[in-house]
Amino acid sequence: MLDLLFENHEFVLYLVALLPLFGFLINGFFGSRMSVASSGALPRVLWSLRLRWRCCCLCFR
Amino acid sequence: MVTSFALAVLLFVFPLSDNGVIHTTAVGWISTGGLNISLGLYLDHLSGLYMLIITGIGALIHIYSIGYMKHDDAYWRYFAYLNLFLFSMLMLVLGDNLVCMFLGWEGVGLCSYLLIGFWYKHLVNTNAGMKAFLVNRVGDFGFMIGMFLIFWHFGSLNYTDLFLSVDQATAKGALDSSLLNWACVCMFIGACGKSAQIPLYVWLPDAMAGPTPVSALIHAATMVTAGIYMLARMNFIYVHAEYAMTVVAVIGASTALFAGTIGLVQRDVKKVLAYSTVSQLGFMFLAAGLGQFNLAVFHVFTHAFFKALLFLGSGSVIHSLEHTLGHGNPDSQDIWKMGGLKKMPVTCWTMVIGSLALAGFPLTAGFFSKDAILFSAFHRGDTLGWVLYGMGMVAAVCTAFYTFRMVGLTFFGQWRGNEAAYAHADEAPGSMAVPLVILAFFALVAGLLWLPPAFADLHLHSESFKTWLDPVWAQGQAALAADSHLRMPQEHDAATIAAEWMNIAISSVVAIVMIAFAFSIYSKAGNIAKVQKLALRDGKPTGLYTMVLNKYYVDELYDTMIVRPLKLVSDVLFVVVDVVVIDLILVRGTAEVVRVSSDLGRRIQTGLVRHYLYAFAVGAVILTALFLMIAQR
Repeated sequence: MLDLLFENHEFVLYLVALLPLFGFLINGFFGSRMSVASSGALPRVLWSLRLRWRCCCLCFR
Repeated sequence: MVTSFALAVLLFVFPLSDNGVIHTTAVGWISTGGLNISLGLYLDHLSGLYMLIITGIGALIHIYSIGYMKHDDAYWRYFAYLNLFLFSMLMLVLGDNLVCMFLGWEGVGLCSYLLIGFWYKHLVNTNAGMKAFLVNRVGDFGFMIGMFLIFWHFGSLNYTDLFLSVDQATAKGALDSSLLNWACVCMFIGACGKSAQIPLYVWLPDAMAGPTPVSALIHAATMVTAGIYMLARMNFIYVHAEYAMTVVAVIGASTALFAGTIGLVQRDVKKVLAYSTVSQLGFMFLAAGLGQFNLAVFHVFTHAFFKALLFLGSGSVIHSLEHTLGHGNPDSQDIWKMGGLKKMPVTCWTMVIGSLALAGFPLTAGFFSKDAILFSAFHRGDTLGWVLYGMGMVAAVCTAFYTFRMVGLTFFGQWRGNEAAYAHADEAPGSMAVPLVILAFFALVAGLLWLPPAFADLHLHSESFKTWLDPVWAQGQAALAADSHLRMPQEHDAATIAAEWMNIAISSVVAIVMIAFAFSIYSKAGNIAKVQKLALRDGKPTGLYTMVLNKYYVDELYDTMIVRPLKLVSDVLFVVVDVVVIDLILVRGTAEVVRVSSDLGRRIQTGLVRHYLYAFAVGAVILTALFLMIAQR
């Protein structure tokens, strides 16, 4: 992953440009329910997905 | 945004520092005739610098907004718009062609409209958003015409193609100077709209109706500098359009002076800063018009820190007072109803640092960039240069005065407003205070990245900012004649160094004297009363003071000359075209004709057999008579 960041500069450039768009989409689609700042949105979404995954695992165990 | 900023730093440190340019095409977009437009990104030293400013200041303002917008019902909508703005702004600066730039240009315009009218239940806010949107569309029309002219001349809108085409046309002597001048003036009209220059500056002071972090990010640090970016990006074309450059410089200096004088009498803390932004943008255009694009971008860089800091600091004051006065209370922004707010130490002292930088106090960030712009006007050496220098210097005097008028009235002296509001005024929470401190640090030191060449006498030499941007201007500078006054100076002789020292001395003395003068008046209750007595007659402003207080009646002039005639024409067109031609004649008229003819036809259809037999008999008689008449002839 780190190699990708350090070597594929085009990929990093796309990330820089598109991350705010993700912030817009996350806040726009989930914002009213989650009410998160975009600076913390992505980690929180991932965290929330992780929790859901764990719940699923617990249910099916 | 923090992640985006971290990645931007990564790009800045690795590929760009190797003098590399990243150009990547994601997908083809428009391909028709000779026009080929793709969606691609172009990262060079100029767009890289802007990318850092946008993501860096954007990240700080996101963090600040977490505290500022905490209690707002539409918290998520605010962040959605703010992120859409940052995406659009990055598209504007990173796009690899003029159409992508225009796409971002329109995107930031839309987000600006949405964020100015964020609290849309107040009519003032929605009107301000509408005004910003409409004024910007006027500029955008010019931008589009400029793009069409460039496409007509060079057959492409991609930067890489344009670099090549301009080089080839210059070598062959095939550049159409007249057309280029028109194209550059048209594109500058677009810049006037986006960067709030005369005559399209009127939307920016009203845009302060939006949330304060929005004012800091969009209407001070980033979006309004898009016009400068456009000029800097197209520098290799602008250097061939000498008349257009003169227009840019004159409009820039005029705006700097004009807005500077209006800032002297504003009562609303955000309006003071708004006019100061218009004025500073004027300085940037002055530098660009003089051919010193690197100085214009340097002022964008330093201005981003201290103006974002000042807006966020004012937001901290407003936020604190609104706890007691209520949201949207105009008293929470009225500096005449403040005073003694140094009880908020972080806000107060960071604001003082930002104000020192804006006022051009020696060795702060604003001092270096503004002083260099003034010197470039002086160094031009002709009458126009001296006039522009004079205008810039008067604007700098105004800047130092109104900035410390604001500081004195807000943070020092005695409180003049609601006592309960003062009692409950508290320092900003951590999420708001930390960005202030970070920005204050850069407002102090950012100027050290490019010290004046005269400082080499003191064994202080720093030109890393200039060196960083040199590749961006290389093509344009190579095409200029050796004695062109648009050339960026590389070497400074002894006489120039001496003149530069003189300029530094004048700028420093002017800044210190005006800061001390304004602060001594407005930080003491007794002096404020004396000033009010001088300015007011029977409690009312008079003469020039009234004129400046009413912003030279420009809004009223636009209202009389543009808005009302347009409304009148719209009303006439509504009555004649909509109501009479379309509604009455075409829609209702057609229906009426059908109705009347149907009504007549309906009367024949009675349903009585004797009526039909009667009609049949009459018809038979008429036909028989006709046949007989024809037979007799």
